[in-house]
Amino acid sequence: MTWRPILRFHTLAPASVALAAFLALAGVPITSAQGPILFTAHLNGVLPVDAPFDPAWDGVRPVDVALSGQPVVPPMLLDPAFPSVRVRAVENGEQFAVLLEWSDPTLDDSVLAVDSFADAAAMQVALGTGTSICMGQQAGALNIWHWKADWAADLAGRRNLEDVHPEMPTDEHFPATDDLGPDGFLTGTQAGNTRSATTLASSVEDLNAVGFGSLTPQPSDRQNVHGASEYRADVWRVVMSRDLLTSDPNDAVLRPGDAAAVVAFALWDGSRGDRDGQKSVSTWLSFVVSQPAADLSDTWPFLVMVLLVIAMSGLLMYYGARQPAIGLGGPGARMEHQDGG
Amino acid sequence: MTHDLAGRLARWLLIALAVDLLLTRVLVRLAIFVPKGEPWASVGAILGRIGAATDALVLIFAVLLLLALLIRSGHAGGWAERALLVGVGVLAAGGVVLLFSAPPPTVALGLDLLVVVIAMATGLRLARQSGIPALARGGLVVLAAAVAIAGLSHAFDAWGAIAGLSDVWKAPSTLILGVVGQLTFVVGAGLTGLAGVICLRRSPQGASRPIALGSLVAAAMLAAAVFAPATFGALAIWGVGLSGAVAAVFVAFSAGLSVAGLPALHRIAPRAAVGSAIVLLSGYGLAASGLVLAGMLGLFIAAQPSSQRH
Repeated sequence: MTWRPILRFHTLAPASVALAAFLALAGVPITSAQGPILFTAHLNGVLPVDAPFDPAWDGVRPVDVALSGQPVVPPMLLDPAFPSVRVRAVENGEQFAVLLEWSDPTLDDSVLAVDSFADAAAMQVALGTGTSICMGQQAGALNIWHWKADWAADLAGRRNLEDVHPEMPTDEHFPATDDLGPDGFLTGTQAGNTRSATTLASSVEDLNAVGFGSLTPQPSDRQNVHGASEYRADVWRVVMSRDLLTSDPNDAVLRPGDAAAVVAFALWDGSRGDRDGQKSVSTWLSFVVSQPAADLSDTWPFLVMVLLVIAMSGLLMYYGARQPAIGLGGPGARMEHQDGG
Repeated sequence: MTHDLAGRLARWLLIALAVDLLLTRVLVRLAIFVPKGEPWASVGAILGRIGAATDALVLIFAVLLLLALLIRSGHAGGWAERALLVGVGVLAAGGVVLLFSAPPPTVALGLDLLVVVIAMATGLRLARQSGIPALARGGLVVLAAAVAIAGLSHAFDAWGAIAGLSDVWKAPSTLILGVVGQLTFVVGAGLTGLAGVICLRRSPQGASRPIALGSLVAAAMLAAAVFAPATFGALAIWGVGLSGAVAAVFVAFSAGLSVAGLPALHRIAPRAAVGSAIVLLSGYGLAASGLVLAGMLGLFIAAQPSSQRH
């Protein structure tokens, strides 16, 4: 048997196209991400989830993630408010925490005035492969963790319209019954809208999306992302944390040792009027929750792969050495003829 | 026909990359603007499948080209060439394993450093390649440096994950490397294209048409950058990995030079032209494993000595 018929180009080209079409139709991915990777660092003991400026964070090498504007859908942001965000991620075998750090000369933590907007930060993790970075799509959902500076401030002490407009006239609340509290009937609150909640459990909202206009908060009993933040010397540091494993299928899978997921980040600058889609965004970044005790044995798939490649390369070269008539030309046997005129 | 199998595969890889750039990296991503209702949703889904097929085709052609080059190196290559090709093979297989397994930081660092080593070694081979016009040779060496810088940038992140908690070792910010790398990539593209444009003076077919085409491309890109800067920026990131570190005017000028000059360079140094076109279409620092492999192969093809026996 000879390999020559198989190696003929007019056999290979259509077969390659057919194989590519089959793989695409079957939804089998064959390309992976070999770009920058955000690795989690393993910390022993309790993670500094409530202390964004804890020295333990400074021992974790950050990844600087470049940000650009969001020019796709209104409200757009053509020039990013921030050039980059510095990201650190840690886990202790039970919990995962990510620290976002960026410089912002203004602290914006209130949305009570009509023209005021709050600083915010978000991390989105794709729940599958091939997911659109633009809020996902029907066949590829996202889990989004959205930290809000106004929620963080409200956690310390809830503010109300009276705090912004102390002299404002107060209408009679309807219905003015004792069981509804001093604000009376609040439609959003009664509907369970997390943004209207009078008490907040966290400064981070746990959301899902499957495309533009589909952003949906998870039910209040599944809001399981903890937030902590601190603004110091024109720098925001925000920690978002969660248990590594949850039972919610809409939560990002953070299982140590799993294949790389993809993650992206976004920042909002309240003083520039950033809100909704008006934000500074990153592109996808590979994200790996490392095994707590990664050692040489964890690299076995790659070591096996290296050995296989070396063996296969040797065989191919041996085959090539014994087939002087085939030669295969290099990328331009015909090019050579052209060289010679 | 078997005599120039690798050459044909290189050209098909080039075509697949061009289609991938226009379709997968630009058109499919623009499909997010398509309304979500039917029939547009189905059109978007079909586009997505075609994009995925093109993405796969790039990797398939790249792997076939790698196999063909490995066989050829057994017949006519030196040890350095064989070692480089095995390194490219490890890189390709690493991309496959990443589909199923999370890389420990040591493995990620190894793969990133492999990119750096292969790009630098190929750059050295290119620098000694006398069959390529000096300016094009310089451009290709700069392109190899850009690929190495992209790999180095990723390697720093991986090393940071290993060094991690011992804050003794501080690497430079990858943002700075990104700026340097993008600038290097654009300069390399411009130099290679310029070498071709200079060759046009000796072309019997004349220089007016290629220069007109290159000027048209540059003008279109400039117009897009002026009148739709955000969309231009997004497409530059998605398409070729340029995240705005280099001014649009330089990117447009460089692209125009490449479009005008590479066909002319192809007549004098075909391998250099095909190889550099593959590197350029693979983009700067894009993460898809097929594009990483294609970029490596593009450099390797450009560095093939023209006197090599077939």
